[in-house]
Amino acid sequence: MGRPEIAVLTGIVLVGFLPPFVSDYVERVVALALMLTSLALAQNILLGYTGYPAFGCIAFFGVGGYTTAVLMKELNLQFPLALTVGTVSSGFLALLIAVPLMRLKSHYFAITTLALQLALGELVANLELTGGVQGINLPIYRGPGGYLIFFYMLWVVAIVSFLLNAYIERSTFGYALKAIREDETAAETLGVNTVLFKAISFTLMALITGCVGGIYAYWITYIDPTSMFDPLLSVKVFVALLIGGVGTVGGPVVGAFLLEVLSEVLWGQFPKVHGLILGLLIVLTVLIIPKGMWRRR
Amino acid sequence: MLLEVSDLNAGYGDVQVLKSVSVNVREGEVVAIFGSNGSGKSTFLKVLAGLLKPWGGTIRFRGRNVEDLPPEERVRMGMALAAEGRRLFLGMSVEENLMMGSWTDRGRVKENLERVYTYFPELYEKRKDLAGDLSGGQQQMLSIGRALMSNPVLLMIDELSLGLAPAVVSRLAEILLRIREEEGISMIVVEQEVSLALEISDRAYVFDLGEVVDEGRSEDLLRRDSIKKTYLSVL
Repeated sequence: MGRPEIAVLTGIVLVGFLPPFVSDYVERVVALALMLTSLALAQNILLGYTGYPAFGCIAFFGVGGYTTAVLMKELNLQFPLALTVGTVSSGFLALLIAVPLMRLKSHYFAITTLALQLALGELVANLELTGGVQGINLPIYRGPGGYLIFFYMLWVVAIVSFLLNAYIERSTFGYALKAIREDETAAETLGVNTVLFKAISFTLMALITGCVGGIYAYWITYIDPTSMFDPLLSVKVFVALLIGGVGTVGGPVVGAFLLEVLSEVLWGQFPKVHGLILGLLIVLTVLIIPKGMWRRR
Repeated sequence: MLLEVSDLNAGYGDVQVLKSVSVNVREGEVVAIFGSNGSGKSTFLKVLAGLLKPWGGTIRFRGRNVEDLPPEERVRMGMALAAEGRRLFLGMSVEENLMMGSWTDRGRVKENLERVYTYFPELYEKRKDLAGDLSGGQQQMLSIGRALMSNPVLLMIDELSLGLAPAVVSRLAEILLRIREEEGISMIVVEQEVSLALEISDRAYVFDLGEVVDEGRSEDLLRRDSIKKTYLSVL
């Protein structure tokens, strides 16, 4: 890790000391920013390092969230176990579909993952097990630490995601991914097992995204198909990456925090034009800093 | 025999490109393949490298049938391809490109780097630059250097001289001959520039519409009237 990366990591760690000093509202915004950070870092592994844009990445957020919720509700599983199974199921789904799906490239791949997200949203809206359009109510968490526990879970996931990205940036594994991003055929020619590495990259993205989905589900205690398979959340992940800098370790973190805080402030100050201003921000980002704030090494 | 390709058929979708192609390469031999556009030269190398599955026929490399092996397995066995259009990782540095070439031989990255840098000193000077910032000639050197990084016994080069100045091409040819002399690496060089192809090779195959239409020792082919007329524009 270079100095700027260490500074960002220190920043995330320090955020963990905020809760005693700030209001519940600020704590909630920071928790949401940590959540977006993890989602952006997860997508960064796939898009930033491997070159595959999973525009429907929130499909895995939904799978993680719903699996966790259904297991808690129907089988009365404890949250840690339910979350683990939810995370693993999300990764497993990705592993299953990675090979056929990742024969597609760029926008074809992006659209197909988006189709998956929408299709899964429809599916859970029509299944009895998942509560249909009414969704699932989960018991409110009353254990030690109260709601802070969710803040810290999201905090830990963000740190782990960051370290994973930092590892990929420097490791042999990361070089294989970057080679695929730069020229997949050339990577194959040199003996990189591209099918395997693409599948691992996709699965890592899904594991993090699914885990965040599971935490989120229990955090807000009520989930429905619209909130768990929300295309707007996918957009947000991509905008955070765009602003921060795709394919960098620090960029997604900066982008996620900036976007979350900004959109919260805008939402509070200008509820009517908040979407318009965000749209303008995206346009300006693309025009002025097309590669994002964080420059690729 | 290092490489024995017999009765190879291959194509894309329904379109057959290679029709019953047979090619042999002996240990330490440089074999040139030439022919006009669309004659199947590049397709042939793609099939050899494992990027395209053949419809039929056999590829024996070092006494083992490799036609069903994935590309990485073939690289491990000693095949290396410097692909058409160079296919460099343009957003990565020169040295990172080279290191990726040692993917199957990671334990010896350092030795391999040193070896490649002795053949191509200009790559050493530019090792920190992005591959995308190199000149055409340097990019071709990088492409060949990267292929050498896997310590191959058979180096396959697609379109050696494409888009390069004559002075650069003759330098590349010189380096290739040196590599062959010092390491005894066999080579298959696909080349449109027929006089160059015949100059640097021991034997050559002429491809036309996916078939081998002529073959022989390069010096004999150089003297053959039909070759002169069709490919060397000598009237």
